Parts: sequence; C-alpha cells; structure tokens
Amino acid sequence: MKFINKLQNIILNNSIKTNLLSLYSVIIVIMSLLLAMMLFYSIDLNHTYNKIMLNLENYNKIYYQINTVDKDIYLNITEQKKFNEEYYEQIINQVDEELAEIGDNFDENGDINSAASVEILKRTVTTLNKYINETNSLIINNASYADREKLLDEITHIKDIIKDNVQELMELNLTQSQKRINTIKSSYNTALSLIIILFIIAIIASVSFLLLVIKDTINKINTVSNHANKLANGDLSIESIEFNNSSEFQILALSFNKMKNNIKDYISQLSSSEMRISSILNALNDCIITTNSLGEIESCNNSIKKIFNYKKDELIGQNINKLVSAIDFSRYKYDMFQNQKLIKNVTIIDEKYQLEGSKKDGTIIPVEVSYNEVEFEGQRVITFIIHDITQHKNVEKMKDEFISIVSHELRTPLTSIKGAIGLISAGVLGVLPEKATAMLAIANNNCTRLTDLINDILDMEKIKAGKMNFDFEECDVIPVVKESIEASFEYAKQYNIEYKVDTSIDSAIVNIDKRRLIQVLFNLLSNAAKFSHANSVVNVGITRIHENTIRISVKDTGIGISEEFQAQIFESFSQADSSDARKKGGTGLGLSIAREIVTIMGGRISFESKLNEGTNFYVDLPEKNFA
Amino acid sequence: MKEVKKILYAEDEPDVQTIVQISVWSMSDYEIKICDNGRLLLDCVEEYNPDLILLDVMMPEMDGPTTLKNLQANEKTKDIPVIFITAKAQSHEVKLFEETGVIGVITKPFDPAALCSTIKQLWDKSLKAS
Repeated sequence: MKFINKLQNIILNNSIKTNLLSLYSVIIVIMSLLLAMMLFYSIDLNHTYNKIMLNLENYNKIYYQINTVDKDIYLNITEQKKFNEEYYEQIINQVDEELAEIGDNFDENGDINSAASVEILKRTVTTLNKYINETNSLIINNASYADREKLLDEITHIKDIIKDNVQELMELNLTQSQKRINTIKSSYNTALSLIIILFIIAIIASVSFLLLVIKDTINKINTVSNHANKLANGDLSIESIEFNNSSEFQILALSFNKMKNNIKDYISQLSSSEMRISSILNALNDCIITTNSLGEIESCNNSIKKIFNYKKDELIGQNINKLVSAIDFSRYKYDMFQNQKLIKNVTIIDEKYQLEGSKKDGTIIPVEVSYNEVEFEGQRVITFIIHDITQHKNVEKMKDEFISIVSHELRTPLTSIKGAIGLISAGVLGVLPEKATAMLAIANNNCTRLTDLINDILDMEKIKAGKMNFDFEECDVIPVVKESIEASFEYAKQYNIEYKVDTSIDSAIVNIDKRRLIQVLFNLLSNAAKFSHANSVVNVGITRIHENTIRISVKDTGIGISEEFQAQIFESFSQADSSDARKKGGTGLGLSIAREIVTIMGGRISFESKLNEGTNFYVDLPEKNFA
Repeated sequence: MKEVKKILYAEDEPDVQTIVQISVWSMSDYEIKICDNGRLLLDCVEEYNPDLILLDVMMPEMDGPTTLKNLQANEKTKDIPVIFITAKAQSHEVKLFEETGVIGVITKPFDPAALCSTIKQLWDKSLKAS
C-alpha cells in the first residue's frame, strides 16, 4: 500500500506526458531484453540442430567403415586374404576421430552420459582393432579354418556390439538433443508468456494510470469550475487555487488565480471609480438624469431631492416629462443622419434650454436643461443635466431692477439740472450777460456728457451680460449710412464740419440691426467731427472690398491717433489724452461699444491713422445674397 | 385739425414739475395742470378734460403704466392721447412703453427748450397715423 501511495504521488506529481513516457520506456526495455533472450534461444536451437546433423553424418560414416571391415573380414576368412593393416589403421583412426568429434559435441553440451557412451564406443573400437590384428596374425601363421571361423564370429560379435553401441549412442544423442530442444522451447515459451504478461501489465498500467489521471483531472477541473462558478456569482472572497505539484494544472491554477486577482483588482478599481463618480455626481447641485429612448428615468443623482423635492425611488421608471414637461419623447426616434431635437421652440443659450420644471408640490421653477445622447451596447442613453436657475433668475432680475433704478435716480436730478440750465439759456428768465451764457453752455454740455455716460455704461453692461437685444433685418446699408449722417448733422455743425458721402455701389443688402448700426456710425461720425480741424470735410465711403464684404469708411483729416495709443483704442475708458477728452467731451466707451455691436452683427471694425494727418475708420459687414 | 390746448401732467418730482411748467408757459400757449401722482391725475382727469396727458413712469401711489391702464379702461378718457416722460430710458424699456398704446415716449433728461416742439411733433405724428 505504501508503495502504491508513493507511486501515486510520483504519478500525480509529474505531468501526464512524463508519466506515460517513463512507463512506456520501462516496458520497452523489458520487452527488448525478452526479445534478445528469445533470439539467443533460437540461435542456440539452431546450433544444437547443426550438431545433431553432424553427429548423424559421423554415425553414417562409422557404419560405412564398419561395413567395409565386415567385408574384409569375410574375405579374410574365406580366402585367407591378409588384412591391409595400414588401411585398417586408417579406418580405425577415422572412426576414432569421428567418435571424438561426436564426444566433443556432447562434451560441449556438458553431457556426461554421452561422453561415457563414447568411452564405451572407443573401447569397443579398440577391441575391434585388437581382434583384427589377431585375425591378421592368424592368417600370417596359417591358422586353421576353425580358429579363423571362431575368430570371425568373435569379430562379427564385436562388430554387432559396436553397431549396437553406435545405435544406442545415436538414440541417446537424439533423446538428449530432443531434451535440449525441449528446454530451449520451454524457455522460449516462458519468454513469450512473459512478453504477453508484460504487455497485459502495460495495458493495465496504462488504463489504471489513465483512470487515475482522469480522476485527478476531473477533481482539479471540478475545483477550478467551482471557483469559477463562485467568481461568476460575484464571490470575490474565494481563496486562490493551490495544486501542490508542477503538472499542467499548476499553469491553469496560476492563470485562474491571476485572472481572479485581476478581476478583483478591476472590480475594486471600478467600484472605487464608481464611488468617486457617484460622490461627485451627488455633490453636484445640478440634477443629472439618464433616461432610455422612451424618456423613462433610469438613474438620477441626489440633487433631485434639492431641486424637485422627489425621492430617487419615486422617479425611477417615470417619464422625464413629469419633471420638465417640455421634454417630449413621443416622437423621438434615433436617426443616424437626423438627430431629432427633443425640445423645440424654446430659448437656447449655448446649447442649454431654458425651460420650466415642476416640483413635487406642483411649483413651477425655471430650469436650464442640456442633454447628450450616447449609444451604449445597442441602447440609447440620454443624459439630462437640469440646473435650477431660480436664484440666477432672481439675481438677474434684481440686477436689472438695480440698474434701472440707478439710472432712474441719476436721470431725475439730471433732468432738473438740465431743465433749469436749458430754461435759463433759452432766455426764459430774461437776457443773460455773455459770460453767463458761456458758463451755462459748459454746464449744459456736461449734463449731456453725464447722460451719454449713463447710456453708454448701461449699453456696456448689457453687452457684457450678452443681453443686448438685436432686431436683425435684411436691408440696404446705403440709406442707413445716410440716416446716420443726418443724425450727426447737428452735432457736426457745432464743429463746422461737413460730411461728404461717396459711394461706388448702388445698393448692398446686409443683415443688421438698423438702430445699432446707426449708433455705431453716429459714434464714428461724431468722433471724426470732434477730432477734425474746424471747417474741414469728413469723407464717408461705401465700397465693396471683397465679393461679399461691404466697407463703410469714415475718414477725417484731424489730429490722428498716436502709434502707442492705437493698440488700446477699443478698450473701455481709453482716450488719447484725458485733458483732450475733457475738452472734446465723450465717455471713452463709444468705440468699445461700437466694436462689440459690429462683432455681434458679424462684421469687423478697424482703422488706419497717422498722427496729425487724420484717421480712417472702417466698418466691414458681410453682404447678404451676393450674386 | 385739432390743436392741443390743455395738458394734464402727472409728476412726483417738484423740480421737474417746475421746469416743465416754466417750459410750457414760456415756449407755448398750452394750458397745463400738474398732479403729484397717477392717482391724483385720475381724480381730476374727467373734470379737467385735457387734450393730452403727460405721464411720468415711476411715481408713488400709482405709477404711469397703471394710470395709463385706468385711463384706457375708462370710456371717457380712453381716447385722450398720452405721452410718457420717463427716466427709464434704456432701449428695451422705451420699447416696452411704446407698445402700451401711447403716442410717444420722451426720455429724461430732456431739453426744456425743445420740450414743447417735441410734444407737438409727437402729436402731429399720431394725428397723421390715425
């Protein structure tokens, strides 16, 4: 049992491949040994057979020779013929050698009985030899026929003994060979049986080994699949798989453990990042809601409570139009080429929709909605960001009111001052001395300047807030330029300046807000008048500088703009010389307002100027329907 | 052609009241009566029966637009032309006032010397339009 356990350990500790290889090599070595044994036996068998054949031949020879002797003896006896001694000696020697050879063959096989038989034979032959010699001496001494016949009988008897001996020897020989062959055969059979047994052992070992391996494999696969199942069910607390050996399963176990750890890492990363994201989302003041393509809410953050006073659970699965009725999914169908708008006919500021939201208690609040669509695993997901702009709206309203009140409160005293001065200047209170009139003019001008400043500051405020309203219309720019000149006419008169219009085109359609363009041109024209030398002419030109660009130029021959100042001319509250500004009036906001207005109308404002030679201002506007 | 003879004016600021009064007296033949707010104007409008009404916008008790609504609601006063004189002079505000059915809007500060001619211009323009 101990051995089997040890073997089992060895088998299980090695890879299947190694185990099979070692088993088969052991079997092949044993088989080779057995085969070599069998080969040896067959060679031995062959050898024995050859010897038997050789001995049989020797026996034949002996027979023949003895028969020859027999014939000679007969002749000797009947005709008293002398034996040829030399010849006989030769024959005897030959028989001797042949017998020795037979004996050798038997000796080689270590067969003592056979060797003993040969000894007997040899003695018999010696006996024969002796009697032949005696016979010869009888003949030579002329012995009587009866003596000779007696001797012949004896010789014949000896010869028969020899024959019998040889016969016996041959039979013995054959029996022994047979025995030997049988021994070899039985060894051969043993080897064959061994081979068969080994073969059966090999098969049984292979099968049991395979069964063992299969059982072990199934166990290991079960372990891995159990772990995988737990992992699939989200149980990340499972232990790492340990197979205490270096089989193929160790690699599987390592891979599985690595995969498990990776999954664990990914999931912890994911949940950590989800936690962060969800924390970020919940920290936001904006409502973030995702819906499916039917508008049903799939998720929302905590701000839903703050903004709409709903609990999260109350809204999951509800249609988003419960919150913002303007969001309409009824005709929503995703189309690759035509992204349909979910919200129509509402104010859009920077892709944000200003809409009305309904709180849980039915209160209507102003909200700003933006949305984004993505396709995720074949599902459309629409994300809405809803921003409560109640406070923003309130602040805006308060700011508007504040500006309105401030401007009102500034204008009211100004009205009184300007009115009083105006009435005195108009001579309502009687004719005034010349110096008083001049002083009143100064007071009046500064009233106007203050009024302009208030207007400009309000304009600037609106431009910065992006709230300046523009009434765009497509119209001919030439009459607008002429209207601006008419508006500036009175102003220019005080500086004795004349405007001269020069146009190279008949008409040019532009998309503008007429009133705003007049405001811009009035500013440029009054600036030109203000900074020109008295009694000079300001040239106004309308030209088409490119295929679709109309340029309005206002050119004066006044003091010009110094190079240092050119860079900041469009900045707020910048005037070349503050003392000059005081003299000439103006708020320092005109050109920056003009630039903003022209930009909003899709145009560009620029200038060329040389100090003491004059300035040329350009307003370039895109021309509509240029054919 | 009908001429303006009697003007009824509602204005809370005494200084402006004085300036308008002096301006009208010295620059035209109009007869002018000034009330301190819209409520008082409504009290005397039927009795005074003016040809033209000037309304300040921001006044205590009753502001200009409310006064205008009351005038328009009254069968006897709804045809009297009205001009707003306002310190709410931002362009969108002016636009709002112009849409309430008045014949014109004069923004403060105004030139007192030109007040009467402006009133006459607006009057003539509205007559022409009607």
